[in-house]
Amino acid sequence: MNRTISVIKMHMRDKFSWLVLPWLICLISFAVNLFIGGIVNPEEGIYTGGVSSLYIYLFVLGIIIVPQTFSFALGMGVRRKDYFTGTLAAFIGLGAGSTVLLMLLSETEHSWFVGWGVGLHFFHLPFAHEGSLLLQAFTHFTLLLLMFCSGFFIASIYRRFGKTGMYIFSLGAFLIFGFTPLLISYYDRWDEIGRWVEANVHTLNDLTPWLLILAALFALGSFGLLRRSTV
Amino acid sequence: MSQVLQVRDLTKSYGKFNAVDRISFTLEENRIYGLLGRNGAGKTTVMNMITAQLFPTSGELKVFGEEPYENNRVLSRICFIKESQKYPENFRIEDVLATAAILYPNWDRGFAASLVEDFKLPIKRKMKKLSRGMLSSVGIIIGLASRAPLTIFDEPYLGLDAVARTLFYDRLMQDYTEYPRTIILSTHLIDEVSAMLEHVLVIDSGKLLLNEDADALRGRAYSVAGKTAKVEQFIAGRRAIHRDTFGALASATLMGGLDADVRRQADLLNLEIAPVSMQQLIVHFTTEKTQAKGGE
Repeated sequence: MNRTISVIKMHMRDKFSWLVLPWLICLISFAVNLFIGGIVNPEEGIYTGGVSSLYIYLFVLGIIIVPQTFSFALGMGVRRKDYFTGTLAAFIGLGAGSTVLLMLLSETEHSWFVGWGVGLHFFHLPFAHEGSLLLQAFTHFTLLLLMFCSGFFIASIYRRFGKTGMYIFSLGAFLIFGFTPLLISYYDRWDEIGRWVEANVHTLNDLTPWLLILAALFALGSFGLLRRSTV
Repeated sequence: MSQVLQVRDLTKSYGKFNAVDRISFTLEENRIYGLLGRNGAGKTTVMNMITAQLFPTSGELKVFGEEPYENNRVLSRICFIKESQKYPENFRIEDVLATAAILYPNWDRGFAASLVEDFKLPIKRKMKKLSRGMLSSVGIIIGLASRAPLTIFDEPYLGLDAVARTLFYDRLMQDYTEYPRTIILSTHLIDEVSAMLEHVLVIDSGKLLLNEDADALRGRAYSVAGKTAKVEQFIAGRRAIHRDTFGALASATLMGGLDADVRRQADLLNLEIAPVSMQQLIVHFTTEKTQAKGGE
């Protein structure tokens, strides 16, 4: 436990990558959208996906954190297990804090300072922000976690198996994503899938359990890979 | 004295190549060990396995009586400073030292601060902007201020000038006297450190070539110098490992102990006797083996 906290403290020495950069990117995107909204100001409002920059950065953070700190931490006598739990805990903290901020901004945009005065929908979007606030918060926290864990998983593959591992993983991912739609077409199942989505997925909240399972799988995968990684 | 490290038949193979080949040795508490050998001999591989950063292919490895892998009781008591250590790009020197302070239980802040001054390090500068010598200095500071019961320095002074290296040796010896611990120095600057070493391990091509007390090792050879003819007369029937001639004068390095008999005979021939440097001896041992192999 003690050494897990030490790993969190180690990560927090780099406040720029962990705390500043994600929100800097997100707020720059917001400022640009706000500016455009102010100029254009269309009647039906502007819906933008600019907030996704935050989610994407956290995926990137998951990827860069391993090459940046894994060898260093092990060199300083940290156990692999403590490195994993400390890094994941640091991220859970960041994810929770970011979720609170996201929800505050979302509510501001939705209820208090509607559309930031220019009809901009940046933090509160249909489909992604439905249902109770608590449910929304949980969904977005899960999504942030998934982004980080998937990046962390990819970096762990590289750490454990190097370039060769990365090639094989990329090839596998390419085959899965390339052939699945082909197979669905071949067996003529698109219609069925469409119906299932229509019946079951009304908001992003409906996907949350799946996102959570996926995040957990990526996290477990990272742990398994890092446990056998060398410096 | 209790044993800090026990290694038995330790092997690390990459395919058919054995980087470390069935090495066995033990280290005792509170001594300074030299782990010597040529580049690529397998020294770093051994140290990486001791600290569980690499996995052995086979063999047994106990540090403080326990397996080091994923073992905080062991890992928190080892400090391993290596030339190839990577640091996070955004970390400044002070971030690295602050992290070390959290992770090493015996960390001495005051000592670390005084070392930073000794080595004239810009504490606010980012690690990626440091010169090779400054990077080495950061490693040395961590190694010294951590006061880990097992401290390992693997070629710690790349890019450091003679003044800074001397500073390192001085601080090391001062602090070691005050806070005894087991130290492994791995280096190829053998002459510089030989006076500090209490025990020497020599690794060559993955095998343990020599495991001997430093004093005993020094006593294994001596050199004589004088008129060429007298030197020739003296070495007849003895094992000379090295000879130099400058005009009418010659010197020779000979294997064997310096007993009264030897001294008397050298005196008779008007030869001067001098001790042999550890570096010369180790060079001799490692090349002798290579030559023997070449002759096979």
